[in-house]
Amino acid sequence: MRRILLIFKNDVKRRFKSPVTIVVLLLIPIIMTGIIGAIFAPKEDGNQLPKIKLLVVDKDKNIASKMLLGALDSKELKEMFQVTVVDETEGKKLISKGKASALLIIPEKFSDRLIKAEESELLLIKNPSQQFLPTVVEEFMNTFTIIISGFVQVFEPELKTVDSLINMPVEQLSIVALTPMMEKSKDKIVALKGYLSPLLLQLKEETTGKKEKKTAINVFSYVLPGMAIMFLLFIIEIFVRDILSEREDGKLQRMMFAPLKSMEFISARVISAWLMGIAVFLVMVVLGILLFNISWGNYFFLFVFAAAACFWIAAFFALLNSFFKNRNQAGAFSAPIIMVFSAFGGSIIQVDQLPAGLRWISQGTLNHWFIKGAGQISNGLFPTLPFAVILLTGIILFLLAAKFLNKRITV
Amino acid sequence: MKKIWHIAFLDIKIMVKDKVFFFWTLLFPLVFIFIFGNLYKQDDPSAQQAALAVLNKDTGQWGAYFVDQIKSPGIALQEVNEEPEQYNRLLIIPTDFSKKIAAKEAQQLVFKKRDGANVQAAAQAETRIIQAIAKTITRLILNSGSEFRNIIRLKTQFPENTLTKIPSGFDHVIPGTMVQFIMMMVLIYGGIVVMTDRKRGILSRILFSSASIAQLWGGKFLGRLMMGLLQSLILIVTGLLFFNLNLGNIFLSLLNIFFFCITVASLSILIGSLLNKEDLIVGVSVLTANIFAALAGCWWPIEIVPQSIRTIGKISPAYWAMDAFHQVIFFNKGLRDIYSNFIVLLGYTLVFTLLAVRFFKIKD
Repeated sequence: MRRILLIFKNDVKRRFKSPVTIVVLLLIPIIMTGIIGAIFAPKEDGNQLPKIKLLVVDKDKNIASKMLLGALDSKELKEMFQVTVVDETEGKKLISKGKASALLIIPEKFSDRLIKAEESELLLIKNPSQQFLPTVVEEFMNTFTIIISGFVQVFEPELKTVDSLINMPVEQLSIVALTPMMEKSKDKIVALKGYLSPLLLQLKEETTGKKEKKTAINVFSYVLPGMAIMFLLFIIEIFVRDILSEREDGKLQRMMFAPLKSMEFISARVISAWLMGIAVFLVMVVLGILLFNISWGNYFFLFVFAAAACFWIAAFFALLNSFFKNRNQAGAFSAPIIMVFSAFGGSIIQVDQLPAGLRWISQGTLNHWFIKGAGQISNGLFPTLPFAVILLTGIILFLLAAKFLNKRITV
Repeated sequence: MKKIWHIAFLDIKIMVKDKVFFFWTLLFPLVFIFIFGNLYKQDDPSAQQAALAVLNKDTGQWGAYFVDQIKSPGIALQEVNEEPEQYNRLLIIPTDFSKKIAAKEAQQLVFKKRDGANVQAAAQAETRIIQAIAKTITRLILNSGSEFRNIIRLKTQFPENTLTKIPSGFDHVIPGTMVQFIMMMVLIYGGIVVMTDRKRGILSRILFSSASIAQLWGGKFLGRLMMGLLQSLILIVTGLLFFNLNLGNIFLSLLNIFFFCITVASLSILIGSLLNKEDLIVGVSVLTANIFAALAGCWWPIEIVPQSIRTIGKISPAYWAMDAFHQVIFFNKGLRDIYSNFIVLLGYTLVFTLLAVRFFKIKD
């Protein structure tokens, strides 16, 4: 044990003399978490999307187009849309430069046609370089057209009367003749009130399987564990790779002249990488708290769980290094393995956003179990299953690594 | 020129001979393209369908009428007899739905969404339900047996002289992946080779030949440019063969790649000249490439990025390359619309080159 500690102390000293690589690798997950969190965290107004730039060309300039523009100017929709009224030439020029998500053209005589209950058409020109925001505008406009269509249908006779009145000389207007129509309208409005106030059919939304409200803080809390485990894989791999560099530069042979058993050397290497991995993770935890106000949950659970994960990584790369011939080979193969783990395990993209046929792969990655476990800890639970999976597979990996490395070292 | 070419060709040979060359340049980008391309898929209408399970407990006429109003090509509607254990979205029409409608009594329809399920699909389904509510209320108010009629039609199209078909998710994802992997590959491979050549004395030995220092520098620069072009070529060919990739005006897209590659080539020499350790070069390159890619919208549609971050993103050379790609691919723009992007990339190249020349060393 004394010899193991000696090797560990020596390793720590060596790393402290030249910490830049580890610091850079430690900064990557922190910076990436900052960027991803800044982009995807819900804004203060609760919106997750930025305001949608919508250009409107009003060729109607009458009551219906004014109603539409008025609706878009309402408090709720103002938070969603940034509307700019433009003329047609300018609007087309701007949309063809991608300066807005969509351009809505309200045609001439739009109001006249609605009053006559005649069919009319709104034109929506969408920005082809955008994937989501034009669809939101389209869905909103579809809903708007349905509501207005319904309104026009309900008040079709009244609207037609209004239309005929517009073109009628004042002297021919007869209030008496209008009275039955107004009475009927009143009845409709009263009936309408029964349907609309309160709204006859309301939608009550419920989210199932939801643990807590999504806030800016827990966007960071979700991203950082995924990023942290990805870069812990990179960092601990560098620590473990010392086995090969010591073999390559003859240091290992010299060490074997000392009264050092090969198992002691292997254990020292794994333990050293393991403990330094835990230290790096703790730095990430502290930075997460200080920079992103992350709530990690129970710190004892987190420490035990992270210790198991770091042990798994050290054992895994020790096993891989028993097959690699040299440092270059280790570097060449380890990085792709880490990237595949990260891509399928949820570090780069959430597992449930992977194509359905690929999701099962994530179960075979450390990243998946670590992210799952970290999530459980932040919810106040001990991650029994992820911990058991990581610890048991870690022990198996360590035993295999010891067996194969022992052969490589004694050869 | 022959000597420059020779030095460049040797660097390319080292890169291609690497055991995991095809993983980094082809397989891993393909994983990215496949995952993100499917995530942002838009071309296939069936893939856009939002799944919605409907539990209609009502036995009267209005329950069935309401379900009919929800049906549309964008909704994969599944009528169920009891609440399923697993679903993404579920609408429950209560037992007394028709009865309450007849009594003009307000009621709530429960719309359940699974946490973590696709937000866009949930919004699509919700919009359709709101539209069905509007249609049903209209029908009720009309009370004359006449059906709801959509008087206003919404016609959608893209701007004139741009696209005629909806771009696929891959059309969006492949340029982003290409830009990201050009950075990753050229910065990592290019940087490491500059550093190892210096450390092993290969640069000094080259100068013992008749090659001048300018030729040596030119060879290193050309080598990195070729690395970027090779990475692009691999992804373009793959995109054209398997994903029906649309690059718009191919000449302008290639020109854009060229300008971006020279920017990254000069940055690669700078990183290789400044840093002395392989692991450090890998770390700095991954950090730089990922920050530039994230800010430029290589990973996600730039439209969802807050304006402030989009403004900051302009410091990333990748932003200008991505913007030029968007102009060419989606807006069918010509050289005069994107030449300013090329000037910015040239500016970056100049700055990185000056710095690289300043820090370029033959030996440590």
